[in-house]
Amino acid sequence: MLLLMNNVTSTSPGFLREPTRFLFFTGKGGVGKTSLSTAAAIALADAGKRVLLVSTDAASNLDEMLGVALSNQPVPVPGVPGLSMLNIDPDAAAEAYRLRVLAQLALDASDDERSTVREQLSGACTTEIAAFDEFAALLASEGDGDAHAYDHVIFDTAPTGHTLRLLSLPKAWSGFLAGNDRGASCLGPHSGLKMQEVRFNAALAALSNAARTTVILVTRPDPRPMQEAARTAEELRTLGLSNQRLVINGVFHASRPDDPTAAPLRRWASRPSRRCPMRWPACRATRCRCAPSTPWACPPCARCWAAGRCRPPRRMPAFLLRICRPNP
Amino acid sequence: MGHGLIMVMGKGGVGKTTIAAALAVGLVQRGHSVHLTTTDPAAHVADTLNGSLTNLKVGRIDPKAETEAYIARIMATRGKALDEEGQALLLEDLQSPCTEEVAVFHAFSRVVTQARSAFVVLDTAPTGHSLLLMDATGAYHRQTLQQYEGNASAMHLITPLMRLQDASMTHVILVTLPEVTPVSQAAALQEDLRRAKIEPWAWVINKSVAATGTTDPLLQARLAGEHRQTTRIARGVAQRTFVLPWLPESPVGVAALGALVTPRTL
Repeated sequence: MLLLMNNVTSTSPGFLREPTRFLFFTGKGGVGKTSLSTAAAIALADAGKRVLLVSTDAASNLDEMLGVALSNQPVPVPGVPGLSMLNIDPDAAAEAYRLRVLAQLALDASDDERSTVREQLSGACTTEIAAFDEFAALLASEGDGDAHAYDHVIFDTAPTGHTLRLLSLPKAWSGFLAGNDRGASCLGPHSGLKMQEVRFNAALAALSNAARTTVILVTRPDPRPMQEAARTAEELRTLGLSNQRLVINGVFHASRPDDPTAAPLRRWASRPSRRCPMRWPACRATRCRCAPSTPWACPPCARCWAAGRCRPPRRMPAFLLRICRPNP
Repeated sequence: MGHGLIMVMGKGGVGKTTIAAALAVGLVQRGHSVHLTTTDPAAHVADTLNGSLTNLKVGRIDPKAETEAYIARIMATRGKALDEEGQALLLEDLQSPCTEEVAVFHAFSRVVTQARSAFVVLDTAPTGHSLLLMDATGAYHRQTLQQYEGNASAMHLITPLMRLQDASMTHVILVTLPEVTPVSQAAALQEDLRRAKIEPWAWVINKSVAATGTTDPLLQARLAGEHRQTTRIARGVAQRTFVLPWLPESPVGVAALGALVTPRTL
């Protein structure tokens, strides 16, 4: 994947030209959140901003790529002045959460009870909550901790709608559900959260402030990631996280039109469909700057399939970034 | 063997539904009797296969409906004793993704008993986590015993977890894509299954561009990455590895699905 974003220029996406303080990248596993959030962080640092990149991706080799040892404290990135990185290991966060909950169980709790509680807290939802608990401090307050030293904090993940809804309930902070014969439980019989309700409310206020937070939904030009992005967009919008952008990663240009694999891949990526699955107002097509003979397209949106005239985007809720190869 | 349970597992979008259907078709073509149970919401697979092969029965489970019914049951029983705030917390807790896994697996469990006399192929499955939860908390036991109340044979019930742990009864197939993060996610799924003492029988690498024999230069540049992931799987994490090529259209219908399970030389 090549990105023409070494510098922030007039053709850069809006979320880089007028960046909010917080940028969150969200999307299915493998769509490109880590790559894009890292590229965005480097672009902003190169533009003279002080940037903190928060990485939660254990699968990436970001440490090798950037030459940084992974740490849960910010570490400057060599070769990119202005950029620091910190790493949150979601599995370690989840384990710490479990231990905090188990520590609060009654001393006479049986081994069976302890292992049941442990298993209840071993699902994906608990991991999401524990990871959010780790970075909520970066959102909650200006003068608190590390965050004030940076102009921008960029995350390669985002809290789920479920996490935010759950922690928005007063009862989530004041009383828990006893009994465990109904299976899954995300929080557990006692809270293992490090943050208090005040901090959560401050974090949620920052997230739902369009002037401070942008959510960048990342997808591929494939139906499943698109549908998931549409669902996530709606969920987060309902919670007030309304400043959203869409990036379609990996739009394919075939250089061998007769290749039996390349040709259908290109056709799929560029075909119009009857309805834009994001259900956003019709987007306008503009020319792709790096391959002028090819129009930009919102692949699933028939009304964007403009083979001819350019029109500048008008009140577009999403900015479409095409990954281009430079002309030879 | 002639009978048994085949579970096709993996994250969303990797191709579980198609692969489960292909396995079902392949088994029928090799002379076996098969029940395919699918969660395919568009029912493409179910509609095209139903009635087209004797010895193949196709059943559908609607995950959304099963989850809603399950949540309603829990709210009506456990929620009854709670105040309004407590009910709100319980309801939101039940919106977790784990709930759908449990609800869908309860629905599957009704079909699973047929694996004693035929092949049963399922195109989705709960995680090791959900299985351990259902087993440990006795939720499944209690629910099932309530359904079979008064029936003496209920006492000889084997829990789903025991059935999945028995390699002579169940083969678990883990599907992934030849890309870094999907492989890491599948490896995490496998570790979670191993916690429940279930060992996947095989991995299927789906949508492999390498397997298409493409000559497009950009696609060829992807092949190095694919090769790394394929090696990572075949050498490290999987007992057996199968590779399926990326296809322009998702295969539907007996002929197309049968072709997926026919060995091909590239």
